[in-house]
Order: sequence, then structure tokens, then C-alpha cells
Amino acid sequence: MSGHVPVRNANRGVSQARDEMALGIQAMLASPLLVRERDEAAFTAVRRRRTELTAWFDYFCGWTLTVEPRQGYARLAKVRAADSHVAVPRPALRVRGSGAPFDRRRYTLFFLVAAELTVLSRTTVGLLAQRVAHTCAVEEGVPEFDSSVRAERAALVDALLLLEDYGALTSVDGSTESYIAGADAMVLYKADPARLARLLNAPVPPSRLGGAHPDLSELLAEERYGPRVDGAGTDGPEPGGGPNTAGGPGGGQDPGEGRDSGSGPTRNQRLLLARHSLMRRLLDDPVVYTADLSAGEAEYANTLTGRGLLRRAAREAGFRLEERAEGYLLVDVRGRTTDDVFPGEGNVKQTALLLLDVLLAAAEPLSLTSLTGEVEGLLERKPSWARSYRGEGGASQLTAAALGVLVGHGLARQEQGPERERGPADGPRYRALPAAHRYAVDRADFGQAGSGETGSGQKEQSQEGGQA
Amino acid sequence: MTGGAGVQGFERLPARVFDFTSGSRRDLYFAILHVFNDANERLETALLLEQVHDRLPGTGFTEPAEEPEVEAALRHLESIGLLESAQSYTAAYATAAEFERKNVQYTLTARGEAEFAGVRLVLERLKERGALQTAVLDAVADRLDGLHALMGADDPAQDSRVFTTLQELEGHLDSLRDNTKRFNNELQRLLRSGGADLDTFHEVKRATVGYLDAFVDNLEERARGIADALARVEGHGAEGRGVEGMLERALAGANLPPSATDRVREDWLAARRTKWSGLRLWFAPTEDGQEGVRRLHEVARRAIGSLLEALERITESRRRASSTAEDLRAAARWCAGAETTENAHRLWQALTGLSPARHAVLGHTDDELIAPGTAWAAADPVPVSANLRSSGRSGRVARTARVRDVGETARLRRERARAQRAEVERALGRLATDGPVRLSAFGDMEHDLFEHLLALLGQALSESVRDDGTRRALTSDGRMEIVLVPPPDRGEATLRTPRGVFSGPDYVVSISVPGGAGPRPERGLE
Repeated sequence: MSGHVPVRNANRGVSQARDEMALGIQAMLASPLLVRERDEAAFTAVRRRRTELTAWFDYFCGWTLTVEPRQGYARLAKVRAADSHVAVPRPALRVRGSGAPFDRRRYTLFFLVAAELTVLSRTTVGLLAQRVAHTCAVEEGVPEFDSSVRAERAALVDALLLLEDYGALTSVDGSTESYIAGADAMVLYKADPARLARLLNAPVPPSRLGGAHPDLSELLAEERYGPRVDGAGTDGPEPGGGPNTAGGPGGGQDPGEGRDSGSGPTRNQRLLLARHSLMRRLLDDPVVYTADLSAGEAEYANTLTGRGLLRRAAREAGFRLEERAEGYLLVDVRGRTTDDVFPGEGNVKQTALLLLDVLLAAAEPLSLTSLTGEVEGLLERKPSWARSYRGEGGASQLTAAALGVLVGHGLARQEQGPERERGPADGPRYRALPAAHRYAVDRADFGQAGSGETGSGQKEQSQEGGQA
Repeated sequence: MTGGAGVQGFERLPARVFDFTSGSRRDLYFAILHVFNDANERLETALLLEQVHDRLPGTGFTEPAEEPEVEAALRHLESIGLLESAQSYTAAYATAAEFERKNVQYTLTARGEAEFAGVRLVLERLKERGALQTAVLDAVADRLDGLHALMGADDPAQDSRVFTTLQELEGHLDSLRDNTKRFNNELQRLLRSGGADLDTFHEVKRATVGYLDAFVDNLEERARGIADALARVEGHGAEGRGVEGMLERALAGANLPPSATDRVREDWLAARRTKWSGLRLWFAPTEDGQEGVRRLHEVARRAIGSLLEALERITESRRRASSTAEDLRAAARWCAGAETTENAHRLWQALTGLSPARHAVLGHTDDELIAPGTAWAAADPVPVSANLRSSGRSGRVARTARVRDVGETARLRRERARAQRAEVERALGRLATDGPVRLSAFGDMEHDLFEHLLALLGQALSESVRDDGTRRALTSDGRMEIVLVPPPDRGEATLRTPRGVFSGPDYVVSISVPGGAGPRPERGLE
């Protein structure tokens, strides 16, 4: 039977496999903990291609992909160094309401609840709250939990809902949200210890580090790249031309090579690190600027192999790669792998587009004050526009939100230097980054074109909540 | 608490009771009372100073005490009413002074006895550990059965045994209650304490859990046995005198001294009744089961739960290194300690890697046109919908069209159908005749009405002619009947409607509603 497959069918098979790979990669990038109930099609793709996908992520990014077909989830252990200014942390979002980001309290409760659940398979919201309160009382540095305070209950509910969203917790009876109304709500839960154990994926277990404050670089140290050199390879006095002269390309594993200060990583380990960290940035961040790359990464990106790998990764993952003088970015035309879309709908993003023009037109960084002035001008010129930002401080809120979008998409950055010299009165200064030019236009601007438009009410406001 | 019938008001302690237990010489006082108590047990009621002095070491009181000191102590005890003194004439005296000093005999007063007993009880209590004894439960059941058997035989000779059995029963009940109380206290303390020494704590808790488990296992069954026995004893009330009768027999068997007045007897009975109601409180079945037992059960079960939880915590903290829970707790601690929310976000991303990717969504339609390595500033910008700039709305994605409300449509249709139907009925009603009329009598009429009439006529004409020469037809819904009689003459009927003229044989028609129930409003004909 199989020997007789017509050519066309074989081709279809190949293209289907390619599509499934791309879908799988994109799905895992979009939701590192992919739950079957949430996206059946994506999960099926991941399940079917799990061997290839696991190898793919491991090769390109050094990320571990675990697929549990029976338990209905797949987990991509995304590890990212916390050093890229483009990689603005993307927070956990509330499942409830407008989807605002978690705050410290919610994060704390999230982890505490998860910790309690690892030993409880079945429990109720009341018991859970009690245990959390108990742990809060015992743990040093964790504020006490008082279930009689509504705000506290709401925070707990947000934590619980997120756990439910990940499938780590299932409410068997009752709804979690009813707990907000009163601490006597009855909700029965069933926990999934396997998924709970997969919530954390830092390379180094947090309990091994201990302490009241984490050292992120220690937390994220991976053994596979060998011992860490301080500065993670960004500094100059690396072996530099050494490998070329001595080992050559065929050198393979030569442990003596890279060790200049005691026991540094080997050449292979450094190459691996360069490839992985470069790919991690590319696949996770909106833009990768060459200027931000470490020496190793930049070097790797400049080699023929490196360039080839970037293109291959983009192609296989179903993205378009934009290679520009200043850096790279992936374009996801379907918008499947992004938590936020820019340019997008709503007052904030509209403002962001307009500020982008302003920033691009300016020769040097603009202060927050002057940018706020621009937005104030807009608000004045268009009386019916952006109604929800008409109140006291609305203009600065809108400006901050719009700048947040730009910074989050790697299109602008806050200048570090001059702000101190000029004093705090002027506020921080912002500069457009090269990729901002992608959205530059010379068409009719907002002031004229959209004069008939009315403000777009609260709906967009709520979408924007995540960016605030 | 003691809501028994005979107890009135609040019981008061005499003033300055247990005074001897305070002050610098309290140990000596206690030792002296000890001496007297011991003597009392040997039925030796009076002691001389030197006897007291000699016996002091026997009580375990080791501090050196001179005779004058002891004497002062004795006088003090006498002054606070714990001792009484009297002259003794039996001792040998060498001098008058000696006689003065040594002939005094001391006796313990009732109050002294009570205070000493009280202190002893305190000491015992302090030393005792609470225990839950299933054996006590068995004993309670046994005594109840015993009482039952004794009451079966109404034999006054057995009264004393009724008394002793009752006393034993009370003793067991007291012991059960005390022990449980104390055990519960200890348990709560155990639950609260974090425990400095983890190992011991672990052991104690584990042992306690086992102990409670066994107890709870037995409790239910035994409690039921007791409840049954209780019911049997009280059941004697049907033929005999029940609990009251039993108590009276016990009173008879108690052999109270002749000095006891009626008042004393009544108090005695009241005290017994209180105890009995205590027994009932523990074991007699109520609506929610046996109250006391159930509470005990609850305490035990809750304690098991909490203890296991505490044990879990301990075990958990032991395998600290590999524990997910510990990792999560460390994560929680860090999040709580993050300086800013921004830092917490960063921490979240580093710890979980659960954050989604972020990418650009707009690209060139043909990106091959721009050579790799062109600067962004030099390359063409990607097309951004003008609408996004001007209105903040995407031009590409249109809003989903509003889904028509099907329910609304259905309702409208239903209403229209109903209206139509009503219209037809009204029309037909107007067609009804009061009897046979000539077709020509209809004359001018509305077109709609005419069509109905035509339909009726057609129906009638399609029927076969009956024996009497008439044709009859019913409308399909059976509401109207038309009877058609061939025209007696060759007359021609002409009906006019706004739309035209109809002419045909001038039949005699009678249109009616069979049951007569139909509407019969204004007629369509003159």
C-alpha cells in the first residue's frame, strides 16, 4: 500500500508535516504550557510531531519540550537570560475581568497555593486559604494572609483562576469566583501534581539558592554551557582570535582552548550558548538588535552558518525573518505567537503610533514631559476622542501606556544617561529604536484624517489593560 | 454548669482559703499538714509538737527545721483555722515550762483536711496526663448493665450494691470526663506547638495519631453499647420507678449516718441526679447522635487531620532539597520580597518561563524586494492600516455582523399567523347566515369575504348531491357548515366586489356554525 503513494499525496504529506511543525512551534511559543482543552488543534499538532518538536527546540534554543499526551498538556521550558532591554518582562495576566497583570501579592499567593496543592490532591477553597494563611504566618518576609479582607480574597481568587487556567487545578464543584463574595464559599478542588511540578522551570531549583532575594543570573545558570564567566561573554578579553589560530574549525572538543581564567566554558559550549541565546531572543522577543547582542552571539549571527540557521529556524517555525542592518525580527503575519499586537486597535496603540512618528521625527531623545505635551495637544484638538483619558492626569496616563507599548515592542527605549543630569523634573527621556522605522508613514496624519471619528470607548480600554 | 435540681445559687469558697500555700514558709506548712494527714490515715488524730517535728523528714521535707520554728508554724496554722489545739496529759514533763510548751496536742480541722486535699489534688492534676481510655467506656457499660440487673430484682438487700455500683459508675464517668478534658487540652497544645525538637515532635505526633485512630475506631461501637444499657436502665420506669427508683434504692444503700437530715439526703439525691444527667449528656442519643461522644469523636478526628498535616509539613521540610513545594515557597518568598512590581514580573518570567512570545504582525507582502542588511530607516515601511492611525480601529478586521435574534423572528411569525387566523375567523363569522338565503342576497361584498364565500361554495359544489337535493360541506377545520340547495327558479345571482363581478346560479345557501359556538357578529349582508 504505502509503496504506491502517488507523488502528489507524498507532497501533501510533506507540506502537512511542515505546517504541523510550524503550528506546533508557534503554539508552544505562544503558550509554554499548552493545555489540550484550550487549543485542541494546536495540541494535536504538538502531540503528533512531539519527537521532531522536542529535537527542534533543543537544537535551536536548548529548551526542553515535554509532551504528555495522556495528561493533555505540553510544556516548553523557556529559559531566558534577563539581560535584554527589549525583553520587557511579560507578566502573568489575570484570567478574570480586564486581564490586568499580576501584582506581587498575586504572584506570592500563586506560588504559595501551588506549594500547598502539591501535597493536597483534593481540597476546598476554605482549607486552602487556611493553609495559605498558615504558611504566610510562618514564612519570613511574606505578609500575613487575612481571608476576611476582600482584596486579599480577590488576589487569592486570581491566583487560583490562573492555576485553573493552566489545568493544574480543577474546580470539581462550585466556582472559584464565589470566594470573592465571602470566605465561606464552598468550592471543591482537584489538583494535578504533575502540572504543579511543571510550573517552575528555572534551571536551578529556587530552594537550592534560598535567601530572601534571588540572584537571577544564578537562578538561570545552565550547566550545559559550562561554568559561567562573569559578564557572560560580553566582555572583550575573551580568547578572541584564539580558536581560529590554534584549533581551527575542525577542532571539535578541545577543552584546553577556552580556558583562560581557570575553568571557563569550552569552545563548543560557547558556540552552543551563542546559538541558543540568539535563537531564544529571536523566537521570544519582538526585535533583536545587533547592538544588544553579546560578543559571542554577534559573532555567531555574522557567520554563514549562523545566518543560515536563523533563516532556517524562522522558516520552519512559520515566520518571516526580517534581516536589517541593525538587527533581526520575526514577522508572525497570523499573529498567533504574540501576546500583544502592534500596531493594534484602541486609543493607547493609536497614541503609540502617533508618538512613534513624533519620536522618529525628533533628532534626539524626547522627555516624557514633552511627549505628554504632545498627547495633551491631541486630546485638545480632538474633543470626542479617547474619552476614558479625559480626566485628571489622563494625558500622562495615556502617554505612559503608549510608551509602554512601544518599549514592550522594542520600538523605543528609555534613555538611561541624561535623565540624572537634567534632574527629575524633566522626567525620563525616550528614543526611537531602529525598528520604529517599519511603521513610519508619510500619509495624512491623525489630526486631519480622523476628524469625524468619535472616541472608542471602554472596550479597547479593557484590552489595553495588560499594557498599563 | 451544675444545673442540678438541688444546687441553689453560687457556691462560695471560704475566704482566705489555701493561704498556707503562699509565703516563705509554705513548704513547711505543707509538710506539717502532710504529717497530720498521714497520721489521720492511721487513725491517729492528735499530734504533739515533737511528734510533728520528728515526722517531718518522713514527708520528704528535707530542710532543717528547729522545734521553735515548727511550733511557730503550728500556731500560724491554728490561727488560720487549719489546726486545733488541746492540752494533752499523757506526756511526761520534766519542768513546768516543758509542760507549758509540750503538752499541746494538735488536730487537723475539717477545713485543714479540705485544704490539704485540695492542694494534693492540684499536685496530682499537674502530674497527670490525659488519656482516652476505651476501658473506661467498657466499665461504664458494665456498671450500667449491673444496675439494670440489680433493679430487675427488687430486693432491698441489694440496695447497698445499687449504691456501690452507682458510685463506681459515677467514678468512671468522672474519670472519662476528666481524662478527655485533659487529653483534649494536651492535644490542642500539641497542635499549636511548632516543636523545637523535630524528631521528638514527629514521634509524639505520630504516636498520637495512632492512638486517636484506635480510639475513634472503638468509640462508635462502645458508645452505642452504653446508650443501649442506659436505655435499659431508664426503661425500668415503665414497670418500676426508673432512675428515681434506682436513686432511692441507692440512697437507702448508701447508709448515710444517722446525723444526716432530710436536707442532706435531698442534696445527696440532687448530686446523683446531676451526675446522671451528665451521663445522659455523654451517651444518651439525641437528634444528632450522642452529643458528648460525637464531640469527642469530632475532636479526635480533627486532631488526626491536623496532626497528619503537621507531620506532612515536617516530612516535607526534611526532603527540602528536592521538594517542589519548597521551591514554590521560595518563589513565593522572593515575589513577596520583590522591590517593584516590575521586578516581580521579571521574577515570574525567570522562574516559570510561562510568558508568551511577542512578535511583529505586520510584514511586507514581498519581503524579498528588500535586501538583507538594509537599514530599517532606509527600507520601506510596512503598510499600516490608515484606520489604525486615524480611528484606532483596524480596517482589516470588520466587526462581526450582528447575529439575528431567531427567537424574535419566530415570535413575530407566530404573531402574524395568529392575526391571520383571527382575520379568517372574523370573515367566516360574517358569512354565517341566520337561515337559508339566496346567494343573490349577498349583493355587494368585500373581496376578501367573497373569496372565502367562493371557497365555501366550491367545497359544497364538489360534494355529491344528497337525497334531499342539498349539498353539504364542512370547512376543513370543521367550524362552518354550508348547505346548498339548488335554485328553485332560474334566477341568476350577481355578486359585486371592488375587484369585479361574479354571476352564477342563484343557489339557496345557509352557512352556519355547527355547534353554534362560533362568533356571530355583524353580517356581511343586508
